[in-house]
Amino acid sequence: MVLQFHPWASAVEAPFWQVLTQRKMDIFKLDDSLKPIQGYYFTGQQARIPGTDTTVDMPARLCLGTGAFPDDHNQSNRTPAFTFPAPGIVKNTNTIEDFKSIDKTALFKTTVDQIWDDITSGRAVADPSLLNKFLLLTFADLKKFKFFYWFAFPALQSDPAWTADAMQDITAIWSPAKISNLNTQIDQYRQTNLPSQSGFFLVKETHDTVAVARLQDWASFFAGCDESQIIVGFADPSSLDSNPGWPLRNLLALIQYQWKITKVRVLCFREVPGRQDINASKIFTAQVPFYVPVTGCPKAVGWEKNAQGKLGPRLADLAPLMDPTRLADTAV
Amino acid sequence: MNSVQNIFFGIREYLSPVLKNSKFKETGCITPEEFEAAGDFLVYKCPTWSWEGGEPSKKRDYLHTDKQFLITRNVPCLRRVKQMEYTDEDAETQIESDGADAWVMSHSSRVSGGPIEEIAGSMDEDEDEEAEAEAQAKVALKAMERLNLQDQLRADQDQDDDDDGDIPDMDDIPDMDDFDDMEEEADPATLAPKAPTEADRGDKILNVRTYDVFITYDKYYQTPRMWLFGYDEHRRPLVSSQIFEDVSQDYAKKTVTIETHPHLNMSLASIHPCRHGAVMKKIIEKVANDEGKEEPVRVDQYLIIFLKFMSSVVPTIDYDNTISA
Repeated sequence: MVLQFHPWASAVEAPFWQVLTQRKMDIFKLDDSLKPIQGYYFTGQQARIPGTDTTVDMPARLCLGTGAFPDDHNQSNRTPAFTFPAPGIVKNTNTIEDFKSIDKTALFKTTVDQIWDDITSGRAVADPSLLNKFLLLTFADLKKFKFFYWFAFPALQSDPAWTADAMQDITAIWSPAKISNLNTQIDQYRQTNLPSQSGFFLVKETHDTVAVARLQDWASFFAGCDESQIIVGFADPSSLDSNPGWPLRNLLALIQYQWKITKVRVLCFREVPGRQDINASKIFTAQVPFYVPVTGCPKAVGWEKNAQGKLGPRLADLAPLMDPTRLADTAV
Repeated sequence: MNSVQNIFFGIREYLSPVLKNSKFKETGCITPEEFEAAGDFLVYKCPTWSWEGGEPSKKRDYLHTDKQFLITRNVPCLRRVKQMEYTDEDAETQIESDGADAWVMSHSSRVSGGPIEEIAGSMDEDEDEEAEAEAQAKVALKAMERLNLQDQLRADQDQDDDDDGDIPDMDDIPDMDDFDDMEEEADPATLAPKAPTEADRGDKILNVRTYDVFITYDKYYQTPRMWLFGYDEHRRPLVSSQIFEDVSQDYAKKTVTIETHPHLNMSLASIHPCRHGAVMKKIIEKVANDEGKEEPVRVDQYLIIFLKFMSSVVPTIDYDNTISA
């Protein structure tokens, strides 16, 4: 069964547009070059319909907030608690015509090349958050308080494609003690490493305990390990029972390139923030039929579809919230 | 109009003295220091809440510079108020205060899992299931009457909303034809979005909204104040008429207003705090009496109680699932 990944759904917080507006007016002005930006995500969550036992899968959201620009005053809150960072680049065009005519394919290719370069150079081993690199195109219509935007979340395609067996609930295969041990280990891992390390990690399974380490420790950490003990883990934004989230795609590309892996167990780490509850986590085995040495940068996909389900930009209309003349209408 | 009003609110806030002495039991109001203590306790108990500093130019000097307000993000809101089924205890618990202005604690049980009197539940685990079940049965009939009434109210409101022109005009999106050069090859490893099936129609169709919820300190009313920013399932910001769909009908357009957030240059829906002090005083008294324990309600528990109270105003915004009992 071909392994299918649950795509990202962009989630821009409205105050982000305000921050962008300020940047545009005070700093960028007419400069429309690429700027670094930082997004973040939570692990996948299911929400319970109040008063019932029915749960609903929430989208895998990649969020942009007020801390999105690097040298912000608001350093302490750049990524909220229980989130994982995703670095991106934003191009804010000056006119709607620029926004339409911009060479999107070239920008996408540039981003993909960066990801591939980070993988082959080993930079992404040291800083795995680079695997989440995304591209954002924006046009801010400051007079009308309208913001046009389009995200791309490039994912390298594997040829041949990864296949997977069915995803298993962690609770079905591990004892509560072992799960709790994993939770403690991951907690410690997150506390002792940089946020850029937090979303991707290695897990070594022994009889009834587990150990967690950084990707860069692969060789020493897994030295002498049986293949069955090796697990790669990632913070999984998907809440689906049958599919992992998007960040795993580039992680698999990385481990295949770096360690020539053709078969590996994967831990989809999913937590309920603040509850010490990781029972929604899943484990499955991913594999490719044979190892093909990759020479050039693989093809990639990842433009986000809009609300109409088409490849195209989205619009955030904040006039009702920011426009002084419109605000008067809603005043009570 | 609105800007004049905002200037007035601004001056009024500026002139109000900062509350110094604790009198939360007498008045239900809290000082900025108590707000910070209660906020710290909330963040400790429910780590999905966090402190933020907000706009540097809008810092209030009576609050810690990194602790200007509280926020929790991406709170799911799966149904509209009108879709809520009145299956469990929906007694309207009238919080007595000065006559006509009294807050009505409708569906107070909905989110917190018990009537307002059991707010102590967050501190006190005892649950009398039998009594609760009995009470549920008693109010079921009443709740059904209410449901009809609410449908009627909704129908009226729907008509009002039709012409308010608040909904973003999707025609304004740049012509899609301009982008038709954008084609991606079909990718077998991308999970296609689930198409809504026939079975999903009707009551089952879910518009999964999410909310960012803010709590600020209102210096004039000397109470916390809750702000809401909502997004639809496609992550488009909700306009006020849509947000009102998630507010209990008893409050929509009466106590929920659209005003400028004190720490962001943006207008948000806010639950007006004019009665918060009085209601919080009643709730705190009730909790204290019912518990009859030596240990009185502590001021750092204030925000936990406050959030339970707010659940009755916005019953479908389920931030409460993050609060561990």
